[in-house]
Amino acid sequence: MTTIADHSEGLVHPALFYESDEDYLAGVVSFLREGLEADEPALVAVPKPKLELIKTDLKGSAGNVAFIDMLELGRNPSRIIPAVRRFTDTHPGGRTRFVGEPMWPGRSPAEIREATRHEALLNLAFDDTPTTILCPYDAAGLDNDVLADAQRTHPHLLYGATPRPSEHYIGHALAAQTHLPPRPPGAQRLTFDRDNLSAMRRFVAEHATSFGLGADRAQDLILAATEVATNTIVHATPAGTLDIWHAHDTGAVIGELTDTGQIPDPLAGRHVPSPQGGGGRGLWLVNQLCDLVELHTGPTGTIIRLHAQLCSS
Amino acid sequence: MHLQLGELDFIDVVGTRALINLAERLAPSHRLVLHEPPAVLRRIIELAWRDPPDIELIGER
Repeated sequence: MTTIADHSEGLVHPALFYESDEDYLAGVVSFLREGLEADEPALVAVPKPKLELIKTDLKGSAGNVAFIDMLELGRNPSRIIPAVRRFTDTHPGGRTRFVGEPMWPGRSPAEIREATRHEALLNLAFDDTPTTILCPYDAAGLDNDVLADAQRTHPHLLYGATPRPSEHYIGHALAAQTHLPPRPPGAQRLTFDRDNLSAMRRFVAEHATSFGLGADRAQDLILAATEVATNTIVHATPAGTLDIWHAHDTGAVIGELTDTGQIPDPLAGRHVPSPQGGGGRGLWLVNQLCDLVELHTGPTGTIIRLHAQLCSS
Repeated sequence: MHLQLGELDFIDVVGTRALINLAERLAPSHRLVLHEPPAVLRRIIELAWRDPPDIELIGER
């Protein structure tokens, strides 16, 4: 691990492929101990059972490491980069370390697509930041497609203790290559423009409620849809479409907004809002309101899918 | 400064920003008091502003 980090001033971003708890602890805990010896502050965001494993293995040193349950933070993967940014901002001047595990067996295809985009976008967001981000991948439990994408989003790969460069690494390009599956045939559609946004809100409210979404979550979905629709009208095209449906496989109400514009900043919605002024809070708010936000943008247009879980905690 | 918002059905980030900018211009000598704002206003401020200026919300609905 040190051999990767030695001469880099910016981001170092290896993936660690593990098949057992022993592999996991050998990779993650040695990474954290190296950091502690080098006085590099460390943040760990992995699923809670893994957090406990790491804490136990670190013993008395665990008090010097910050921990976050990735099952909470990473439910919507777009919230991870801002959390890491806050950590690096809190420790300016030297290198920091982050262990981020956004993939786990059982995540839905939509979550996996967004977690993959998150991994790709880390390369852009922290390119010039002196930080080392280790991403563990459960090689025994995750699908081969997920493991193959990890080779595209990570410049270095660790199988055991020896890092090697990834031949398939493509920077953050994979973030723009996500393909959303088609919406189901029963989706309800409305065309919105600047004159019917209140009708659009009623449309979302009626359908979300009929699918069983509670009043508070319905209000969040309405607000999120309004922010995306406003972005369309102000920045892209005079009108767009909204489709809404109930995804029975994941138990989510999904609102999809489509327009023919392109969002130029791949990190839109992932910049921590500045305390004063500044634009660009709309997509940030959308990411905080929704359980998952799928975003596909390119020269032919933008599709944003807002997920609100029916039985969200 | 008091604003009566009882007839406002909805507010978004842009509208909230306008109110926050107003509160910032009033501070520190005056503060903004919003009467009967829609509940979504508090949700937006809590989620999208880390360090909002002092605004009093009365009679949220």
